[in-house]
Amino acid sequence: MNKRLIAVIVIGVIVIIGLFVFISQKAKPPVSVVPPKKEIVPPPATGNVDDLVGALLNEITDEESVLKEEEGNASLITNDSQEIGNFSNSVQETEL
Amino acid sequence: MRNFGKILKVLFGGMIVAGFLVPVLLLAQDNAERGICARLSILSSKIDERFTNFNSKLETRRNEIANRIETRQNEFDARLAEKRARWDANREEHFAKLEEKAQTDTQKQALLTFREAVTAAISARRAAIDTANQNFREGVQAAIASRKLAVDTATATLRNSIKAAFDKANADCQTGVDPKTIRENLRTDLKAARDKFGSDRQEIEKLKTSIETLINTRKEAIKKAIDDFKAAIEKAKTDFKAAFPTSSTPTPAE
Repeated sequence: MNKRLIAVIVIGVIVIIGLFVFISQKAKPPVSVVPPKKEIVPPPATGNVDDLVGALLNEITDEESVLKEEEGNASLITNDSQEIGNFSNSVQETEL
Repeated sequence: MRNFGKILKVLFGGMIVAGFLVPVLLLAQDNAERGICARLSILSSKIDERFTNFNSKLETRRNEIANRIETRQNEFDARLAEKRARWDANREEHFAKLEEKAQTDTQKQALLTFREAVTAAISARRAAIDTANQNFREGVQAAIASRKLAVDTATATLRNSIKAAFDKANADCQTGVDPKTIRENLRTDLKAARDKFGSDRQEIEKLKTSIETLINTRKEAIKKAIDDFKAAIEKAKTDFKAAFPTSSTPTPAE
């Protein structure tokens, strides 16, 4: 009788722990898979003209990263294709 | 012999089922044909209702697209301005350090010339990029307007064609044309209207080419602005170093 009681208690504890782990995992916010945007940090001033020119070139790279993003706007134009296609279904000859 | 009996049974059963089904199907078709005139207004209303619904969905989507583009453009402008300001401040620090080292009038003049050349190159690059962006945005707006016009024209054509088909069917009903003919004609007309809309849609989707052109034009303009900038900076650096043949940086005067 005692063995049975112990077995029930052990199983109960395992179930409770399992439930607790499951709930705590679900409650966690989803981990972002989007990598953080890399920012190019301007180099410190050294008084060397080559370093200044290097900074100017880094500035271009940094600016280009933003410039590329705007291109995505053009692809948004065709995002209404599904809604346009719907009109084909406004009439069905089979309904006649 | 036993198999022959089975085949006969199956054939007989099939004939009985067909004997029931065929008249039912023929009757249903006949009823559909006879009832076409009575159902025209219901069908027409149903189509109108769908059109209104689809138009509403299209308008909602268009607004979403316009808002998203505007939001992204604003974010883009803000980030670009923030980056430019950060690099401007950094450049000032670089020039300040160089000025600390320039002691003679010749060095100071060389540095001033270099600074002016760099500033002019940056202004030219930014102006060219801003123009490329402006042209791109105007192109995007033009493409949106062009697509909207083409879509509105295609949907209006479809709607008018459907209306004309139903008007014709109604007129035929009034003049006592055979319902079977009315039904067939209506079906043919509606199919033609749908096919026309399908081909109009294909033409509309070809506008994607103009979007690719916009992207490429912008890319080329930006590339040219950057290439010109690099060339200008390289020249300014060479000129600057020529004033100090022994060192890449100004050295304090003795």
